[in-house]
Amino acid sequence: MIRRALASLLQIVAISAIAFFLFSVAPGDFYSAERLSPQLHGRSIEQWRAARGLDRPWPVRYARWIESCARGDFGTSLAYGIPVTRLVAPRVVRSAVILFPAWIFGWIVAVCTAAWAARRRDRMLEPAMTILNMSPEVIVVSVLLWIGVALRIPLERAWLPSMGLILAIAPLVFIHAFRAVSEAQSANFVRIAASRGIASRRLWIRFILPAAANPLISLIGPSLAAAIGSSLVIEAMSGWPGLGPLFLEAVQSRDYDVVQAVVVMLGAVLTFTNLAADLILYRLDPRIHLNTDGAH
Amino acid sequence: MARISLIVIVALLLAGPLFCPFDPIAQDREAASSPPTIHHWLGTDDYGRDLAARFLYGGRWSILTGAAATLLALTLGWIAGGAAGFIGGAADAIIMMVAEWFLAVPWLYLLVAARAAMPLDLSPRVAMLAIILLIAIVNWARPARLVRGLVLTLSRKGYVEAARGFGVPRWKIFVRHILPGTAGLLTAQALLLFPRFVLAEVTLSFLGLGAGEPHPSWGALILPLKQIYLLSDHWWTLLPTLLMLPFFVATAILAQGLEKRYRLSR
Repeated sequence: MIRRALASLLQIVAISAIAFFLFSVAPGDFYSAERLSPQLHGRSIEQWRAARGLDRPWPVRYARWIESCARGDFGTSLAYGIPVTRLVAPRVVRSAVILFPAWIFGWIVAVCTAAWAARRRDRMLEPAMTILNMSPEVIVVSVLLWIGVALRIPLERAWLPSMGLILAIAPLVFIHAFRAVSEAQSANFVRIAASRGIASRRLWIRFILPAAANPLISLIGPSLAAAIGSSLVIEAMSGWPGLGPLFLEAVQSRDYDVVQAVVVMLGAVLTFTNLAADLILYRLDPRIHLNTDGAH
Repeated sequence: MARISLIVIVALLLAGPLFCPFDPIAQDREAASSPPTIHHWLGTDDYGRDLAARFLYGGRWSILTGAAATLLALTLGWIAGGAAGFIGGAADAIIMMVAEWFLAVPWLYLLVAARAAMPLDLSPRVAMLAIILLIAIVNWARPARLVRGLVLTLSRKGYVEAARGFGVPRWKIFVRHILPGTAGLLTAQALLLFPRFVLAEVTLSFLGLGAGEPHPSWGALILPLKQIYLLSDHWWTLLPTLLMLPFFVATAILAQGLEKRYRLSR
């Protein structure tokens, strides 16, 4: 178990190194745009770069970055001149405020509908959800925007990004949940239990749902990843001032400390979510061995 | 049904520009912001560009990019996964560890960051190549993991063990008996990834990281919808976006059917 946690930590460090390397080999930096300004002397730009340590080779800068991270300092935004943590933290909160409720709500709705549909052996919902799952967020959000405009609903509220996120998460979870519950329903031990006259409620709570839980628990991480990925587009589309727009802005102005911090943070969140999901699975199902050969 | 409609959609998008009398970039200021008419089937945008032409040309662009990226990502994943499964041992562990890293970051963020690390003012052709490459590099890990798992499963099958018993060399078993078995998985993955990568291109263009303005692409058609007045006053600008849906829906249905068949046959 400790090995598994260490592997997760190594993974985060590796992600940060890959991201750092990627931005270092990329041509241009934050000052590329300022080079075009006729008011600035080339030498003063070089002085700025030297002051920020941007003229050093990337391993040196990476070592410095790691060292400052260990002190809790994740760098300074070049565009805003304030520490990255102070810039990113409020945005993370704004994103999380819609992301987590939408994620949890999407899960609840999806699992309930899936159980209900599987129980009624309803085959109509699955194709519908597949279609919804494949409908790109950009299209779904534009349609939502259009509906909002047509019905004159104020657009600056959180309902638009939240709805977009729920519509992105729920179908994904539904498809997996429906499959898992349907399979559990026709499993032999469930059939035997049913034939021995175990009451329907007990059958569901004690037999079917626990049997369907495993694939769903391993879906926690990927579904969060999907939600975070969708939120980038959905926030950009609906103008919600969360992490997504900040990330895009930082990416376009080459404010790499911010980009780096966001990528590493998201990587860390997902790594730990996956770790948590694995540990839950491990606790629930003694058949599963951690860290055997990675083939889940 | 889904298969036929997908073929029709793709054929229409690939050949459509041949029938379309309008240039997707030409601006006709006389007919700017016109609702659908006999000439302009989907209306025109603020610059007087024909939206139907932009939809067709843009669709061809987005779909070709997506298809090429799918091909490349699957090839990379196939090579990496096959190698990991075949060689095993330390190489396997390393390849799968790296794959794990790639899977741990939300791929859209990674893609945007990687695309942004390149100059923004690339010519459309170079931008297309860059996007194809990036999508493939960011997305090789999942197919690689699936291929590796399948290779490991297949190499425990009876006919492979029989071949091994007959003294067939290892590489020959791999090429003759194991690799052909991955074809079904690859087709299913291709159908699953294709719409997703088309969408990735659309999203990049939408975020301004695609081929760049006058060039038509599906993402560039969605971009103006961020301006609310367009949705309230120029309702037809939503039409191209809605017309993109059948493509995604048809591929989804097809992929689902294929996956079901694949799961049953295993």
